[in-house]
This record gives sequence, C-alpha cells and structure tokens, in this order.
Amino acid sequence: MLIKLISCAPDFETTIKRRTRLLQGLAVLGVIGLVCYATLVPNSSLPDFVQGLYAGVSCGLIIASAIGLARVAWLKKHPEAWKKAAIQNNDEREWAVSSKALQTAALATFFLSVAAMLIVAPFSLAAFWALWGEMICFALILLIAAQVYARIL
Amino acid sequence: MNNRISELRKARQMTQQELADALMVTRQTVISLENGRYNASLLLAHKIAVYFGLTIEEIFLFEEETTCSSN
Repeated sequence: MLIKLISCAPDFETTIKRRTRLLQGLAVLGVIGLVCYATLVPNSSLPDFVQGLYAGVSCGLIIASAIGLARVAWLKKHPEAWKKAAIQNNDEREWAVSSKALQTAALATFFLSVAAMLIVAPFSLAAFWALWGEMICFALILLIAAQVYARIL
Repeated sequence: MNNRISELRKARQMTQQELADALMVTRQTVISLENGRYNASLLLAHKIAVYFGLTIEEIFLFEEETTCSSN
C-alpha cells in the first residue's frame, strides 16, 4: 500500500515505471545492507540480534523487491491483468481507502508513541528521546505538509 | 447522498461488473456507490452522468446535510 501511495501517477504506465524504480532502489538498499553485513558487521561489537537484523532486513528487502519486480514483469506480459491492475490502481474508492488507512495508521502511531514514551522513560532515556524525536518529526512534517497543501489545493 | 445508479443500471439490464468496466472503476466501487456507502467525486459523478446520458442532479439526489461547518 505504501509503495502504491509513493509511486502514484495520473497514468498506470508512469506508475509502473516509478514502482519499478522504487523496487530497484529497495533491492540496491538490500544489497548494500548485505555488503555491510558481510564486511563491516563481523568486525564490530554489535550484539547478535543486531547482526541478525542486518541480514534479515537486507534479505527481506531483496526478496520483497524481487517479488514486486516479478509481478511487474508478469503484468507486462498479460494485457488483461494489466487492465485490471490499472483500474484497481486508478480507482478513486481504492485511493480513499488507502488514504483513510494511512491517516488511521499515522494517528495510531502518534498516540502509541506518546504512550510508549511515558512507559519507557523510567527504563531507557535513549528510547525516550528517540520517541520524543519521532513525535517532533511527525508534528513538523504535519505542519509543513499542511502549509504545502494549503498552497497547492 | 442517495443516487439512482442501481435503478438506472437495472433498467439497462447491466451487471455491476459491466458498469464497473464501462466506468473504469472496480466492482466494489459500484457496490459502494449503489449502497450509498461511498460518495463519488465530481469527476466520477460526471463520468456516470455522461454514461447514462443524464445530468448529475438527475442521478445524485443531494440532501442538505447537517455538519459542524454548516450550522
């Protein structure tokens, strides 16, 4: 859904081009992660779970982008499926659903962050400040986006 | 907002899928429009009106809604 929202364009052809570039970018990120895992991580003092996280996230990114790219290639060879995907991609109700879902997720994340901040404060100041920073970023992005959209719309 | 999409579609003996294909939307959108769960954008409302050869007002029945801003 996030990839769909990021790669949206007025026509499906452009959407697919953007989506392909995005998926290729994710695959490159995954490869960089794996290179870091193979070269930098073994010499570091990172705990085992963080080392595992490097490998896991990198492999996840590569697999997810490979699946996405395979789907794009399949769509290009099947006109009927392409047409169906185009309709689904440009359907205004689908956009409204994605938009509402994103709003709900953003609000829930914000309020859960507030709760998490209050809970973790006595145990870890680093986690407290990380959550604080996340909330400040959220509020700033919200304000900037509101200003930008107020001019555009 | 009520609409006459279901009535007009049935009068033309069309399925929801056929109407969805004609309007280039998903069948789920047609279902939601007919049930009144989803209000079409001006663009889609215009598309529907053009498809049925009617005006938007003849298909979509606007009602005065009571909202915070309209009080």
